[in-house]
Amino acid sequence: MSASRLILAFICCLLSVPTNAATLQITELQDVNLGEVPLGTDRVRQRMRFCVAMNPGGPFQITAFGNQVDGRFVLSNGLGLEQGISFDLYASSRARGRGRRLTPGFPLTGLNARPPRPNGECRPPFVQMRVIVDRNDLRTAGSGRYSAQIELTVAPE
Amino acid sequence: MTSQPTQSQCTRRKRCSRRRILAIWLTSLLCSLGASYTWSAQQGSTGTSSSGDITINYIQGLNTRITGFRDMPLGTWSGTGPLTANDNLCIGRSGVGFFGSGAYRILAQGDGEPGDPSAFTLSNGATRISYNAYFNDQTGTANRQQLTAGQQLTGQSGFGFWMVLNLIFGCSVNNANISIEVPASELASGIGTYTGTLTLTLIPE
Repeated sequence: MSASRLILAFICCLLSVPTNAATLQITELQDVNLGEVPLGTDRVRQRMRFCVAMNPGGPFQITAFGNQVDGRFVLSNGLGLEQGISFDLYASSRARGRGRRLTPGFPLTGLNARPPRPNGECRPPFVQMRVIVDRNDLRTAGSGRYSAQIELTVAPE
Repeated sequence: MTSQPTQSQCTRRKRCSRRRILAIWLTSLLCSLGASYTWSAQQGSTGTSSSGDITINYIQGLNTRITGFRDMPLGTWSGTGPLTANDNLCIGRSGVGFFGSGAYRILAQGDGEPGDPSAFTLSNGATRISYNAYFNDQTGTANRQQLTAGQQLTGQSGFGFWMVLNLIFGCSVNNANISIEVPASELASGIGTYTGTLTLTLIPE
């Protein structure tokens, strides 16, 4: 390999390695309890919020995976996926608004985060997340306890 | 003038101090337990990406009641034909109108066998024989449906008023039937006294 090619490869390598990669952290996550819901309930909704601190601040994306097949968002009573209750997740980095729907395994882009305070505390706005179970999904479900685990991954854009 | 504390006062003070320490320890323990409950979700760590976990809990609140179970003696096999038995049951559930129809499912599980923990089997302690189980969402065995071990039989229903009565007062009106049949081929392979347990789970829809 000639010296000019080596130099060119070195320059390309320098360009491709980010010197100041943003770091971020997802914290203040809490479990969501939808409570006990009687038959005939139209819709079950619950809101939660958590912190994404990014240094330097800027846009980030979030990806959610459920613990069921294909990462689907399904509440399970342990009797198999077909007995589960589907639900939807919406996320937003604004304090108000419905947010945008998350698709399992696909990043939701365009959210914004700020650096943490000097003492490490999260700086608003928090990420707002909503869990929604629709009537059609509730109607066919048998009684009992259901749960789902969701893995949330955030990354800079 | 300040009086010197007596021996008993000193002892009491030490006890008080110990109690205070104990109270503080208990409080901090309870706080830490409370905190761990509140934050049972997994927090992410700092990096170029960060992941955390949350759990979503939900309770579908419907009350159900299945009553009227009796043992089903099959008798002694004569050497030909199957042995059969059946029993009328009472199905009750909430969330149904008096004049409406209440839908439900039945999950049936037998004593099992290697490879199928829910299989419908009878045992004499040494060997097993298999039997068939059937469920009917009305009394008697006409139009009954065969159950598959460990799987839910869907699409069952009952008259709302009877279901509410059965839920509140126990077995008031028979509105279902469970039946079993031990095929002659199974009976021919066994000798002795065979018993088994059949478990039915009522799941409202």
